[in-house]
Amino acid sequence: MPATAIIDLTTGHIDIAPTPEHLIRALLGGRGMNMLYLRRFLHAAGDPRAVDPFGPDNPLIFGAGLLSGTIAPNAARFNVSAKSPETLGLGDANCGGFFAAALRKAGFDRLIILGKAARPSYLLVQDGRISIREAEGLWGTTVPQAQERLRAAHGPGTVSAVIGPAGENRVRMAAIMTGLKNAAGRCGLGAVMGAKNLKAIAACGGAPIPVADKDALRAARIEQTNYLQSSRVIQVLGQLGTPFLYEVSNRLGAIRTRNSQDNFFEDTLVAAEIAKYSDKMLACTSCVVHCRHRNTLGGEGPEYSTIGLLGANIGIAPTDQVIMLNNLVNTLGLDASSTGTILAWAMELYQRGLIGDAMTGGPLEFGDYERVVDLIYDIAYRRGFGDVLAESTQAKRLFPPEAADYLIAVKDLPQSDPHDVRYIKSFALGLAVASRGADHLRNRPTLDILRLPDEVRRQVFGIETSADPTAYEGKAGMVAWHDDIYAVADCLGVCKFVTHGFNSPHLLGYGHFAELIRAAIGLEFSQAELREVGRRVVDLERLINLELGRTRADDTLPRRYFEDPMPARATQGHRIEPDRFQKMLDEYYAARGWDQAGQLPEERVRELNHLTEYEEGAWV
Amino acid sequence: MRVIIHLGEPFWRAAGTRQVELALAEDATVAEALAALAHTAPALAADLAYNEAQPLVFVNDEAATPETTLPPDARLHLVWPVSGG
Repeated sequence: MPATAIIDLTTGHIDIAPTPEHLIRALLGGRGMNMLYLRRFLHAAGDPRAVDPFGPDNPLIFGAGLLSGTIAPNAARFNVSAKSPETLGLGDANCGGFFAAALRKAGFDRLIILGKAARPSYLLVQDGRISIREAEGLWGTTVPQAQERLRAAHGPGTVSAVIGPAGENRVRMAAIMTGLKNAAGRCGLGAVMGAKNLKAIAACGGAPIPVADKDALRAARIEQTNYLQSSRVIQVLGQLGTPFLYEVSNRLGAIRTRNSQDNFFEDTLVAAEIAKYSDKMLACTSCVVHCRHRNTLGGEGPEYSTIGLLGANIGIAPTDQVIMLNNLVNTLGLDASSTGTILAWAMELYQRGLIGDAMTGGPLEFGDYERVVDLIYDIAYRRGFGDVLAESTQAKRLFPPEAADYLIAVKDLPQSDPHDVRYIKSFALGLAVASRGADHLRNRPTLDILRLPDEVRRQVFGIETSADPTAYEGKAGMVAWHDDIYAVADCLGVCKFVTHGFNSPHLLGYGHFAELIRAAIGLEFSQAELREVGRRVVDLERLINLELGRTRADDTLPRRYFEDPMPARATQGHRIEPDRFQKMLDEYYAARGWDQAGQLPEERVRELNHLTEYEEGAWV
Repeated sequence: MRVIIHLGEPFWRAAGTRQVELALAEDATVAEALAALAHTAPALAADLAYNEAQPLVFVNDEAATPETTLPPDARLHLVWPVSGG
C-alpha cells in the first residue's frame, strides 16, 4: 500500500502511515485524496476561512496519482494543494515531469506539510525515510540552480520540487517547479512553500513501485499505447507540441490579445515559428506523446498557454522574445498564466489612466519587451511596482475600484489559458464553475468545437447536447461530464492529453482506467464506480469552497466577457448574455445534483464528513 | 471560379505548401473544395477524411460548414480542430 507522511516543520516531528484502502476506493489518490486532507487539516486549524495561507496552519499537500510512476500510459502527474494565497480559496495545482515517480520510488505517495521551519530548509525523501535539512546554499537560488545543487548533493537521479525567488518572496503567483519548465503553477502554492521556509523537496531512491500484476499492466500498456498512437491528435502533439493550438485559436479570433481588448494577433507565434527554436521533443514519465519542446534559448517550452499569455496578451510578437520570457518566469519560479494575465491587466489600467507613473514608476505599454523583463524580475523580488503586481489578483485592493472590471479572472484566479471564451459557451461555463477559479483543465469540453454528429455526442456524453459551440442549451451536462472524467484522471496521475474527451473522442476512458487500476493496484472498479469517484471529488471541492465562503455569486465570469462583444474574425459580436448564462448555471447545478444556491445534498455532505473526519492521533 | 486555400498545421506539412489555389464551379461548397483539394494534393487525403475530427474551415474569416457555399475569390483557412492546451 502507498504511504502517507505528515511533516511538521515547526516541531520536526514526522509521522508515516499506510494510506487506508477505503480512502483509495473513495478517492483513488492525487487530487481527490489531497482534497480530503486539505479539508481535514483546514478544519483541524479551526475556521477554514480564518486560516492564513501564509500561516503555519495552512497544510501544503503533495500527492502523487494512484498510477503515477507505473508504466501506465502518461501516468506522471501529482497535485499540490493548500489554501491559496492568490485566491484565498481552494488552491490546487497539477504537474507532470518526473517528480511523482521519484516520490513514489522513494516510498511515499503523499506528503502533508504543516507548520513553518525556523530556518530555510528542504526535505530529503529517500528510501522510505524523510529528513528535514537546512537549505544552506539553496535559499536565494533560481529554480535551475537549486535543482542542480540538489543533484550535486544527493546524486544525479535526484528529482526535486523547488521554489525560486518568487516563492521565497511570497509572490502570490509563485509556482513549484520540478524541472526547467514542469510547474505546479496555479494558485500561488510556491508562496505557501516559501512562507513555510521550505525551499525544496528532493526525492531519490530506486525502490520499484509495487504492482499487483506486472504482466497484466505490461499488456494493458502495450494495447493502450497502440490505441493512443493511432490518434492523429496524439501524433500532431508529439510533432509540434501544444504551440499548434495557437493557430487554431488565432484563426478563429479567440486568442486573448492585449488583455482581451482584441481577439487575434500576429502569426509570428504559430507552431512552425516556435519549432525553429526547438532542438528536441521531451516527455514525462511513461509518456507516449512527447509534447514538450526543449528550446535553443536555454529552457523548455513554451506551451500554448505561455505563448498566448506572455505573447499576444501583453502584445509581444517576436518569437524569440516570447521564448525568453517563458524561460525567465520558469527560472524565477512564476506561474506563466497568472504573470501574463496580471501584466496585461496592469497595462490596460495604465492605458486607461487608472494607474499612472507615480505607481508604475514609468510607462507601461503593451509590447514593451524590455519593460516586461524588468517587471518580471521586480515581481519575483518584490521591488517597486513589481511588489504591487506580486499580489496578483489581490492587487485589486491597491488599485482604484473600477480596476476590477478589467481583470480576466474568476474566483480571483487569473484565467489559465489564452482562449477567449466568449464564443464557445461551454468553455465559459467551465471557467465559471471550476473549483480553483478560471481554469480550463478542470472541465473544458474541448470536443465542443468539432461539431460532432448527434450520435457521436450521444455516445460520448450519454445525454442530449447541442453541436453548435455558440449555443447555451445542452452545455451544462457536457461540462459536468468533463468535470468528472478530468477529476478521475487527476486522481490517477494521468495526463489530460490521453484522457477521453480532451481533443479527441478516442482516448483513454473509464474502462481503460479500470483495467490499469486492476493491474497496478489489484482493486476492481466498474466504469460507473470510477465516474462516481469523479463526482465525489468535485463535490468535495465544492464543499471546501462553500466552507471557505464561496457562493453562487462566485461562479461567474470577468465583466468583459458579459459586456464587451468580441471585435473581429469569426467570433465577432459574440459575448456571454447574462440571463442565458444564469440559466446555464441552473442547469449545471441540476446536472451535479446541487440546489440552485450551489449547495450539496445533505446525504452527500454526511458522506464527505464521514470520509474527512479527523480524530486526534489517527490522522490518516 | 478561383479560390485560395491556406493550409494550417499539420495540413501544410503533408501538402508541402502553405497555400493551394483551386478552380471550382460557381456555387461550389466547402465540401466540394475539400474534395478538390484532396484530389490536387493526395498526401492530404488521409487527414481530410480522418474520422477522428473534421478540419475547421473558415471562409473569408467566417466559420463555415461543409454545406457553406463559396463566394468567388474566397479565401479558405483549414486548421486542425482542437481547443485545449
